[in-house]
Amino acid sequence: MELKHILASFRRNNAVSILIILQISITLVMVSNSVFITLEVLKGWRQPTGLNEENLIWVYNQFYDPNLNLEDQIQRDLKDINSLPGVMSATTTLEVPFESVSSFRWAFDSGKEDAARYQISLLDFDDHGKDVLNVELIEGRWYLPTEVAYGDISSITFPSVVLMSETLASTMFQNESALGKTVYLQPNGLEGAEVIGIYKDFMGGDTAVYRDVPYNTVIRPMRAWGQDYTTNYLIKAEPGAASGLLDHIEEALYGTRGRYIVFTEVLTRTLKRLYDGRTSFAFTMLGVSAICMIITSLGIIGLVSLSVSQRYKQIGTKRALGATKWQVIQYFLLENTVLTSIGLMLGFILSYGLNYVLATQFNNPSLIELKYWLLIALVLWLINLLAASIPAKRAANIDPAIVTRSA
Amino acid sequence: MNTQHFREAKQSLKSRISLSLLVVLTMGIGIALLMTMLTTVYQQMRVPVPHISHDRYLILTDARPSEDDTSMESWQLPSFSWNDAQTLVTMENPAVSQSINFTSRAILEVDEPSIRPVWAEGVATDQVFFTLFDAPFLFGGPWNEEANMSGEAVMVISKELNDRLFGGENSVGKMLNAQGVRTTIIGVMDDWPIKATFYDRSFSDREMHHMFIPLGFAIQNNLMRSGVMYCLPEQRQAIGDVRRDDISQLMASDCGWINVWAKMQSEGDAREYDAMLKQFVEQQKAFGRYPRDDVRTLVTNLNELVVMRGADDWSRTLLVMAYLFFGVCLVNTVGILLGKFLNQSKRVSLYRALGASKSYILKQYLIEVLFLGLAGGIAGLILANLGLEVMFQVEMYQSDYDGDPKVVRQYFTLDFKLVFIAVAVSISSIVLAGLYPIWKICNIPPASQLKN
Repeated sequence: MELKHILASFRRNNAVSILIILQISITLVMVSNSVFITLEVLKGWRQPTGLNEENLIWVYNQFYDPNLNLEDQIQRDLKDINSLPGVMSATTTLEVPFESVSSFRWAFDSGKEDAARYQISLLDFDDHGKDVLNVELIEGRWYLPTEVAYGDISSITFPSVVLMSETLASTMFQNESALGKTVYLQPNGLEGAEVIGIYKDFMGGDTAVYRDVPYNTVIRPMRAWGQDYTTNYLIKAEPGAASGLLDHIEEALYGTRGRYIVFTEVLTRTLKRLYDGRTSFAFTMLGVSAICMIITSLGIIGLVSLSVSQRYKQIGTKRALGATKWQVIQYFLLENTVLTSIGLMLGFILSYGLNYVLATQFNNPSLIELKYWLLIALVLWLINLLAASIPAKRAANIDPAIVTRSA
Repeated sequence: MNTQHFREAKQSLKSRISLSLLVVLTMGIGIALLMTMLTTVYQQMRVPVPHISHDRYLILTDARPSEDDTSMESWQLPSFSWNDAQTLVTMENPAVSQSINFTSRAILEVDEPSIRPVWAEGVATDQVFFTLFDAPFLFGGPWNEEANMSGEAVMVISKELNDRLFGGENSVGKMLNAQGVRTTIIGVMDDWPIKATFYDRSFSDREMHHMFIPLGFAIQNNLMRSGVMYCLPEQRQAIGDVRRDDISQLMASDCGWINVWAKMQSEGDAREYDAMLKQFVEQQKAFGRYPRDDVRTLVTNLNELVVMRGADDWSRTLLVMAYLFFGVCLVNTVGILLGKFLNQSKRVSLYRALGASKSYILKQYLIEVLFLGLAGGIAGLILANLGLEVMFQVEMYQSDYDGDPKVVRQYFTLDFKLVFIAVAVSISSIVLAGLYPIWKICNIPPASQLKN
């Protein structure tokens, strides 16, 4: 009965109805696409790192003076770093957690041409690597100080042992134990190395994270140096001391000419950089959507108010004929629900269209999940209902006596 | 129209001032967001060196193996191998002049020990580069043709680097160490308004290049290569690290890393160059190179290149969202205007009864709407500045404050054209939004509302 009235009133009140439908549908298109893109972009955001990154510092280091004796210089650097109060331990490395420095690192399961390859983060630690990283060993053993290889990158003999993460071990060797197996590492190691230990997962460099294999890591006992090669330092600081150490470390290292320090930073900052690109975009989208929802609900309040004021007399008559206040409110809410539903359906079709355009033209992820969509539709519907209830309440308070006035 | 219309419009604006403000605010927010996103896209699409961009051409071909099925637009194709680039530059062709370059970087250090060294990115190129892209000099000038390949250790630095290393003084003739090699500065470039490093195809918009060195100098000292390189996996194995390891193997390989530019006098010359390029590819096919069935070639000027590249995907996505948002604001405005105008039904029907024509009413409301549009546009511009500031901060935060703020900010700045667009969009869209409400109010029958 009510529905019939409502449909009839649409015909009389078509402008307001069309405006409401339009507004709802555009809002849905916007909000749903923003949410879909955000969900996809934020996938893999803030995965556990498995590290106490707030206590870790790394120095991105470059030597360029050909006259420097790098082997000695590195030892001097480490001594300087270790003598700073607050430093607990330090190791050399190329790659560090959250920062690959150099890309393309692979582990092969055999030396043959058809070997299966796995993208990895490769951490070349010296004998202090274990203390610095502090990850838990699951199986096997850590390398001995004697197993660490030292040398110029152009002539170094690569170490014969490596350790790997539990995730990589189970991906490469499935049900078998990785211990005792031989892996081949690229670049620069076509000779194999034996897996002597498996440790708990921690997050590797950015390249691996972006390729969805954040926990594929290998630790190789080696300290290499060379002209145009990067020998970085990874430092463990006492809790709370890390950020205060940065300047002191740089100052100590710049005591030597012929080197350049790209930066010295706490790994929390490295981690922040790893995620920021995607989060900023996602949150901008969500912010815009949120403002859009506010504007829409204000619009709904305005439009329903208009339709109330246009039907002042009609409502008064209803009340005079015995309709309760609640029935009047109900009427407006039902009317709004019908309009919202039409708007949502229209918006649903349009958001598919937009999603297609955004995915094909602008390389956005094409993802529409019905359950999220229904959730968004429900939220929008509730917000609209809430917005419509404000003028509807006012309508309910129209005095039935208004009928007694002429015209 | 006469003053009476304006008085009426003013009266109407005032009559429900809160609704007028609401229209201005709604339009303002919509315009602000639209202009914010439009600005980022517009600024990315600005052509560098616009006064000469029409006759500076980028040359590309598709030397990839047939197995490589990654889809690439023509402008994304790999650069040339060293040998191909050399052939193109030396063979007879319709270009007035040609220049090649690759991206390089080096640690630069001055003798003064209190100044910390700088890791500078730049290009290794020939002397033609500077005239081809109209690079302005503050002190000194480019090297001569012999120095291109002789390996002479000379360098042109940017004004900013000169400020940092030499306190802005004329540093021509002074020495610095580039990756440990004693190098003489022969030129300091002045501010170069290009906004992005387009010439090495990176279009990097975070920081401009600070060093410009002869090809031979970069090659002889094996300076690091930092641009995009396309190498086949087996080539990679043979060469090792293409960025750091022996450059002579890289030069002998088929890896694509050399950017080739040409100045040509007419479209016709460009077509002729393209034909020549196709012929070159055919010849190379005989040696088993350029193995794809249909080898694409590209000879395109800078204007077209910028259009082909377009703005980045995220900016364009946000722009689409901004258009939708503006749509919501517009629909909202229609609603508010409708409510506002219909509120005055009584007055209008009285006017009509007293003999006011429809056109009289129409003009009055049109003036009101136009005024609201103008106010909305101005509010939008004020808010857009805020929005751009936010986007700039987000961009800096997102890049971990890695970029040069002066360079990055250019992408978040309004100019006169954008201001004009904002006002024009605001006024024209509010007229559109006002059509129905105005039509509605104009058609109120005389005296219909006066029964009470």
